[in-house]
Amino acid sequence: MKSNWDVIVVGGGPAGSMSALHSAKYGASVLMLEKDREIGVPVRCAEGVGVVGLQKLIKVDERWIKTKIDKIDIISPNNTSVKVKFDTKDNGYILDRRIFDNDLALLASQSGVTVKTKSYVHGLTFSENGSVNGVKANILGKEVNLSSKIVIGADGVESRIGRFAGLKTALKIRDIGSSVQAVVSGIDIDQNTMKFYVGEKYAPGGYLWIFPKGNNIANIGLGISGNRCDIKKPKDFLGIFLSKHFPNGSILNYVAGGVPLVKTLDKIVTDGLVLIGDAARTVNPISGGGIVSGMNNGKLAGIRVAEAIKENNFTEKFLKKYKDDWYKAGGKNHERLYKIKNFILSLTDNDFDHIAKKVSMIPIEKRSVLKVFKLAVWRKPSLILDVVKAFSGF
Amino acid sequence: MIYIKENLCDFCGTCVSVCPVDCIELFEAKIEIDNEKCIDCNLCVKVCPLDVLEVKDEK
Repeated sequence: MKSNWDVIVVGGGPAGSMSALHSAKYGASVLMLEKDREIGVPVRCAEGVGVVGLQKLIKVDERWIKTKIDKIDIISPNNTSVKVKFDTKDNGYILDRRIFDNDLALLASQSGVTVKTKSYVHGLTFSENGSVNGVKANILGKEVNLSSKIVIGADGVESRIGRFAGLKTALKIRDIGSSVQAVVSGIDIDQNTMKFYVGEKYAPGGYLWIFPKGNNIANIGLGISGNRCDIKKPKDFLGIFLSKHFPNGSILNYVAGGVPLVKTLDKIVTDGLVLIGDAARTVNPISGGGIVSGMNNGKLAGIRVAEAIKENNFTEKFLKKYKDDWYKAGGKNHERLYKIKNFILSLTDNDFDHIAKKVSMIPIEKRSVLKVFKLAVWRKPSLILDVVKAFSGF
Repeated sequence: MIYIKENLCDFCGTCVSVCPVDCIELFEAKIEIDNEKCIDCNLCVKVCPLDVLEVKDEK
């Protein structure tokens, strides 16, 4: 393998693959390194995406889709169920991330990207003027130094690539969703509904989800605000829920994960380095959904990185164009969503029950996610405008 | 000192993401805490989804 590259992407998730693909498409030589043995595994994700968002980014392959979702069902602490139908033009998909992630990496490789798994990056190298110019990696057990013009850090929630370059990526504990999930089979659930449970007994400062995967299988999991899980852990909440609701279900898969529920970092580029996806904190701070936003963010980064390679300019100043592109495409909206999330964290079980009651008084045909959130911020009218801007189109 | 119950760990990196001094190293199926760098803030213990980390007295 050659040791000089235009671009080295650290992390082979959807954001990494999209950035690699788009850098290569515009002419850069690209190496993508994944620390795990297989792209797409383990699946630390509830696997839900919006159809329109995904279609804008890539030609969707039916093999990626486990189920199609046409409504959500939110269950409040006193068991009030509030169903909201999606706009028929923008339904949801539950993906099979194992196949999906694999295919994205494959598409990247078909565009000229060199992909390597079992490749752990444990450091960066710097030029005399302090610009990032490569990575220190262990590839299949062999220590190597690889040089690059630009490193793309797509190394997920635990991102250390940014830290190696002096960027402040550490999350506050209130901004992490501490999560566990199980793929459960042999359960009788509606295959076209995503269910959400809110409240102290399910998931304090977060929510519990049931996302159907077809054939009486569902991804069931929950995320709890990091500052609310020191006594009872996410695994305890999930255990209680599963034994109560699905005592006879089989557990085919059980994984833990952390979700960065925060607005995008202020600084996501420096000389010779850009951060993307979960590493740049591009997850929707309310839903915790990060697939489409990470892919979009990765694409924008890839395009600007390729441009930087062409113009032989790897400075922070040039790479900031990517940051500006992302701010317009999603970062700005995430700032609003983060403000709304911080208010929602203050809601009590009684508040949730009150909101559910209010929403259930609206006829189902007239309900929308926008209306739910408008009612949710009723105690803080100053947020209404943010809600309208953030959720218009839902 | 933080003790890792490694057989319970899922290597998800939630602890790494909140560590203020970047003293946790996460591999595919291995996790290490650099006790020289650790400042005993215990944030990692708090946020772990699985209760893998434990504070132990050094004595």
